[in-house]
Amino acid sequence: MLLAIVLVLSIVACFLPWLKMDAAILGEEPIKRDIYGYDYIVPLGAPYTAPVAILIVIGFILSAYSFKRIQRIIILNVVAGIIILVGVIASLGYTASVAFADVFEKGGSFQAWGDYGIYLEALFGLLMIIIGALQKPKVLIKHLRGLARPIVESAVAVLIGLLIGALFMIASGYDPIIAYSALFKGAFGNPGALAETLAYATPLMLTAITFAVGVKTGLFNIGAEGQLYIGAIGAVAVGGAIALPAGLHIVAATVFAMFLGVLWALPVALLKIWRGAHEVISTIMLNWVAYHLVMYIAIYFLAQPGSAEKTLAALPSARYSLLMRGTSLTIVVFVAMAFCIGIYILLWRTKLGYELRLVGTNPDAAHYAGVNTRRAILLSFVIGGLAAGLAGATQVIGRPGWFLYATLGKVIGLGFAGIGIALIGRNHPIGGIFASVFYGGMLHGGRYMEIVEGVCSELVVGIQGVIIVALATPSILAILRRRLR
Amino acid sequence: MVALAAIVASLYVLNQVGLSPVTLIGTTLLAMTPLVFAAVGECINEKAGMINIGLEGVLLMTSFAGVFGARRFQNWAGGLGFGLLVGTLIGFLFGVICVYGLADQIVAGIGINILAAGIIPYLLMAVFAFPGLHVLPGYLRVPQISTPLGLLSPMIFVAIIAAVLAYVLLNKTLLGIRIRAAGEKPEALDVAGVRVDKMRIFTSTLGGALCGLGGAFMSLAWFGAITKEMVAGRGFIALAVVVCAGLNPLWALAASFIFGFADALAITVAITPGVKEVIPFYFILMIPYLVTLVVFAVAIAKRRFPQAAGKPYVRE
Repeated sequence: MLLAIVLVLSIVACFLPWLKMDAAILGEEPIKRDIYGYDYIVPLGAPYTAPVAILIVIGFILSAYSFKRIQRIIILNVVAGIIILVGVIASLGYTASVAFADVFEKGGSFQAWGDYGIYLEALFGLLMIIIGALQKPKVLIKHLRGLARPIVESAVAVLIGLLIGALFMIASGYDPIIAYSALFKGAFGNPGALAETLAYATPLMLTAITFAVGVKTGLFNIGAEGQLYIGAIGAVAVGGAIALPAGLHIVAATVFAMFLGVLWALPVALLKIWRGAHEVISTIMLNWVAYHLVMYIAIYFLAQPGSAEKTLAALPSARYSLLMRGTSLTIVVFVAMAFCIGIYILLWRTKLGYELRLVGTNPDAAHYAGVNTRRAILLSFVIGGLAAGLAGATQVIGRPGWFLYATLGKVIGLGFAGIGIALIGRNHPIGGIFASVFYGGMLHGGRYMEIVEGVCSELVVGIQGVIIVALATPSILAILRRRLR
Repeated sequence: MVALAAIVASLYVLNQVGLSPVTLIGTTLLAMTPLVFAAVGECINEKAGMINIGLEGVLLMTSFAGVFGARRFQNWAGGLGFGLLVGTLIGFLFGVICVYGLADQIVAGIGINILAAGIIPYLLMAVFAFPGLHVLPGYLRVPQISTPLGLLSPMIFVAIIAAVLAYVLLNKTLLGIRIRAAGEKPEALDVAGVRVDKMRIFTSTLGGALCGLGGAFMSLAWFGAITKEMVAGRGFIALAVVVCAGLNPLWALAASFIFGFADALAITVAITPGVKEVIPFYFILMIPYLVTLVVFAVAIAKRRFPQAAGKPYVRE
């Protein structure tokens, strides 16, 4: 009973700021423009808490499957509560700073403080933590400990990456402190930036799935890049060149993009199954073929009349609607998260997923237990193709602009970035969501780093490379632990 | 044999169209050289049980190092030397990370590739203050020598000699036996009193050094410039070469020629007037990758790899 109340409360808490935002979007409240040029709507907690709401709902659904449901619910409560509190504090701080700026520059008043929803939300966040913590503290601590190790490992690797990035900056005469502070301010410093970061994270959490599912099956599927190109051009073809009824159009474009992603993954899977060809080489070759093929299609068949450097824009009926004005965040982020969670359920809660993971950990045992290894490999590539195709679609029908540059500027590198994100997220679909928000922030904030300190934003990709090498090396943490003792 | 027939046939067809086979072979030799360097190094490396999938990244980083060295020392030899040095260093670090750090070699290799893809645009901006591209003046390029096939870079012959030497090293010397033992049965090598870790770090360093020469060749002798997408999958094509050659450096030379020919064909056809209008440019650019994919898929079945390839060895 108590749990049911907590469930309702937490969902209400997450959507409280959204209620007011809807009013603003509908034009009942004036839109204000902040110092960064984003339209902002008070209260500002919404982008911070929306993903939490989804996580909580799905978490409760999952817990119904789970053996230790009580523990899971407790953990979800506590984690969600902490995230909500952080969001509240951040948005309050931001609101305050904007309000002060308003007062000093324009002589306005502190209207932003007069919103009670955010305080209520903070209260709920606290309540959730307290209820969760009171129930079974020992169980809670035990589970948090289990989570701590992978999180610490990822954090150490990220720190190593940032440190080496800083060394590079010092070596070439930049100030790393200014650059990094610009990066993190640009990525997470205000709600508009956070929404943009989430928009960047959307395709990344999907391409991370491609690699993560591969690793879970014992494969190194680095073909997300090419499958994403193909998916994107598929979304352009259905979304931009064909007219369909409103509801159907968006579904058709998304599904077609995912279908093409699978189509591009199939040759790799078949070569692997029939010929034993290592997937790393065949995926990379197909990535390059996709690169040239998609450019060809974009220029010869789907170019925008009058400006050949762009493809057709997706028709309004094929666009995912915008979540926050002035940013690129659309509701496709929820589609992506739902996909990730779906893959989580598939991998950890079904027989099929168990077979996949068994093939990954011990192919011999899997074979002996009667698992069809070939089917598992095929399925792993199909899931990867679905995820990458969807990622391509998010960049066309789920991101304002609604088109693809003929040079593929919007999608290049997103597939390879997914590799690092999957590794930072410990090859776990849910971990990948958090890692993608981190790396999406790096990508988005990297542009501010370039403006403020002149550091080329592609350094971020280099930092990711270092993080991957660090994560590949399990003994780094062991050595550190030994030193600390 | 089939490949040879295909090459001869395409040479004949191109001759009819009006393309000189000599030019094409010259370009093939250029395109094949970085593949040979990278593939020969990787053959030795994989014989010792190390799989460095980061060849693509090493090629890119060392081609930048070559340009940087040539600028710094104001001559091409300095550039080649610096490329070699950086390649050696990366190979050594990769060896240490994999042998002592017990790293997953494939993941670490992917990390190297991504590191290169990010750090090179950054360095181009930081060092030369121009985004994505740096062109070398003519006097900093490796001078060419006169041969029956026209002016060719001497580095091509260095690559061929390296392949032959690698073959001799692997098959005719004690060191070669030890290298192969490190890949097949590291326990046996350890019992025989040879340090497996040192052997593997040595091959990794050697592989890195050769790959470094290949990278420096690309920027200093072939393109005379560096762009951030210059390597364009050649590192992975070199990996395909290694697999097709069954880790034999001499076969790697032959396989490099085939893949280099596909690359040269694309480069030559793409700039030929008359063809461009018939076949879209983009399809021509796909040739090297499609050829690699097909040859790789056909050739792979009979190949056998060292038993301990890719597995870290821990002394007990």
